[in-house]
Amino acid sequence: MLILGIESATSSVGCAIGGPDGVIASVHTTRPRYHAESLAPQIEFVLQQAGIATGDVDVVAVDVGPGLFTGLRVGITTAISVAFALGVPMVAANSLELLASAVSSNVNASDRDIHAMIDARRGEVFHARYRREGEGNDCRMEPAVALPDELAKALEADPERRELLLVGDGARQHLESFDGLAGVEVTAAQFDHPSASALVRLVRPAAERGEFLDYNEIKPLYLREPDAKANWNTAPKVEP
Amino acid sequence: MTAEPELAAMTSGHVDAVMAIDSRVYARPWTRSMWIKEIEDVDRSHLVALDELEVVGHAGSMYALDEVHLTTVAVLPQRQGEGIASSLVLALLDEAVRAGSSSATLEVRAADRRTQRLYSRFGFSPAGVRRGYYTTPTDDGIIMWLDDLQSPELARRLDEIRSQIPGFAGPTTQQGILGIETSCDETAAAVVRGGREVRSSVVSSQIEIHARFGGVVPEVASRAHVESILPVVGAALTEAGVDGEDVDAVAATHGPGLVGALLVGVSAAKAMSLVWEVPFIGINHLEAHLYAAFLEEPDLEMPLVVLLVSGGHTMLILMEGDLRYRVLGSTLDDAAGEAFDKVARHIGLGYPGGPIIDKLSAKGDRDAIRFPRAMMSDGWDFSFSGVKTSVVNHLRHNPDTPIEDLAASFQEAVADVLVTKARRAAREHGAKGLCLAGGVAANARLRQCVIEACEADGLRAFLPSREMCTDNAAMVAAVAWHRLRADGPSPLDLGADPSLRLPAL
Repeated sequence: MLILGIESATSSVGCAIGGPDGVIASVHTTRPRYHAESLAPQIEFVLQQAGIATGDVDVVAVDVGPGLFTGLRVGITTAISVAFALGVPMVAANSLELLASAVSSNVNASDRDIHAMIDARRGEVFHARYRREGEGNDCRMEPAVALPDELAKALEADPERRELLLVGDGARQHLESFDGLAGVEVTAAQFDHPSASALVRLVRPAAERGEFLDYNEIKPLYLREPDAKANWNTAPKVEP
Repeated sequence: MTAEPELAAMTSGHVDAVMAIDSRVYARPWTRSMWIKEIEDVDRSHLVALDELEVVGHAGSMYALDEVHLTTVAVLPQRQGEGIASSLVLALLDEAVRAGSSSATLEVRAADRRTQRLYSRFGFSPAGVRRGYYTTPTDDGIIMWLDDLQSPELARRLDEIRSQIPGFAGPTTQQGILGIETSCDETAAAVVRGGREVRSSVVSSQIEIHARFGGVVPEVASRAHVESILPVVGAALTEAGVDGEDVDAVAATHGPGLVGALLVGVSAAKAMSLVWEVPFIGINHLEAHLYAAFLEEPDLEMPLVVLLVSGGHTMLILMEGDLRYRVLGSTLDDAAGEAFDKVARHIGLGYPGGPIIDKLSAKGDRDAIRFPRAMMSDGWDFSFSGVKTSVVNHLRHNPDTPIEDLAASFQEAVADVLVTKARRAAREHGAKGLCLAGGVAANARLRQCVIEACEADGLRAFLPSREMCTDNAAMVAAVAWHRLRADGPSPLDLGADPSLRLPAL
């Protein structure tokens, strides 16, 4: 089973093609506001390097967020359109579980929880907590959006919490908020962004169990309402 | 034309039948081994015309650099004169155009006037003679050339020939270009064949969502586009009766517009073009509006003055020919549609302002208040912020003014300026007609003024239907057909450009 994974939730964008033995080819670029320009040529290149015809892709996997809205939509639109055009099913993962999965397969985190954080701009982070259970991660705190200082206070006051490994560009961006907390370590910068390679690895078991979604079941995980108030005076200019 | 031959790529299974035809029309037919080699050669293209699976004709070409050589055209003697040879030549030339060839050449017997006439119809002209090129009987070979394969003129000529062959249907027959439009608050998709024939056009409007906010909210629009894009594309393909993988190309608006909204259409189009292995074409939204009129008026004559009026643009354009235009003037402040929206909002009429003011005006006196006509006689540019302020001031000093009169008088001032300038532009530039484009072109009073002006000046008035004035994807697919011929496909790393300008001369 060949899985084409597409990931664009942060300032990074990438795609990877995975077979039964792991990732065959992948490309990741971190060039802000260049997702739409990068992604289609990346897919073409990755398939070509893997020696795979587009028509041989069996499943399209996508990171549904949370993340930066415009880039996220480029990846999701591209992924659902590829699945639509090929007539193949999809699998989805969220960006925070992707961050956690990359850490838990590379860092010994058996006695610690992983708290994943993605920069949500405007001084906020998207975050969620995971605990290693057998081969996978179990979600212990559902994805949400928070101010880093308030999140730090909540973590400090949480009597249930284990020692924490923080991962993601949200944690790095707001290091000062979490610095003083006991039993908290921030992982290396190499894990800052979710990756398409991690995506194809993470979703493979579900894909092999046939747990597919249709392209019209893929919904972006925004976690934040659009900035729009029904206000006659601040309505933006109407484009053609 | 008694039969409707279908064209197909020649395979080894056709060789016996092809050799049977050749033995009757050629003095020195190719051998089987020559045919097998021809079919396998990547630089050659051979087509057969099939009637109920029987081979009734065939034709082939050879590609060398940017030239294509038509090497053979043969039709069963009893089926000649039915247009089969024309179908085959047309298909080979279509293929060459798509392959990017710039010229075509062939040799024909000097004595064979009939075949020479056939090639002349396609635009081939004699360029030289090869003495004694043919044997049994000995005859000179006339070398014919057709240049400018990529020109819009040739595209038109081929379409004209295509329209004269009723049953023409083959592998190179165009299914149509899939167009996608997501530049603002409409998610739209359409399939259009030959830049003209609308096979489907589906528009999903977000107008009710945005009415709550009094205008288009970019983030709300982008979210709605992601949800609607595939249902809308799916509906357009189904309505056209075309499988996605059979479309000739996929085009999407890449600017101007809301960047987040544009990126949804561009990303979808690129993904589909990649999977279906067809060209992707990025389209300028303003150029698409200019071409909307062509979908309903196939015999538009140029030069033509186009008044492009929408919520974001007010432009006076001189269209000199296919894809050739000059921007004569544009608004210095508010766009015409923007002025309508702002006035409607100020009077408390809701969003979108244009249709509401249009409707109210029908019941009002357009001469009740004389609002200023800015820059009426100088230059080609427009300004609408003054008239908007005048409406606000008038209402402040005369709060009892009937709202219908206010709306009608404001609308009159806007229409008057637009049409007066367009009319003068038509006169000074010797235009044959006046054309409206863009969302504001749906305004009833503006349309009426254009019709009256054209009648008075002996011009033709081109008023696209309401569906073609507002954002749609049929106009995207239509202009894509012209752009693909003129410029070829867009690269897959094309992004969105929110402030893309009209590619004017």
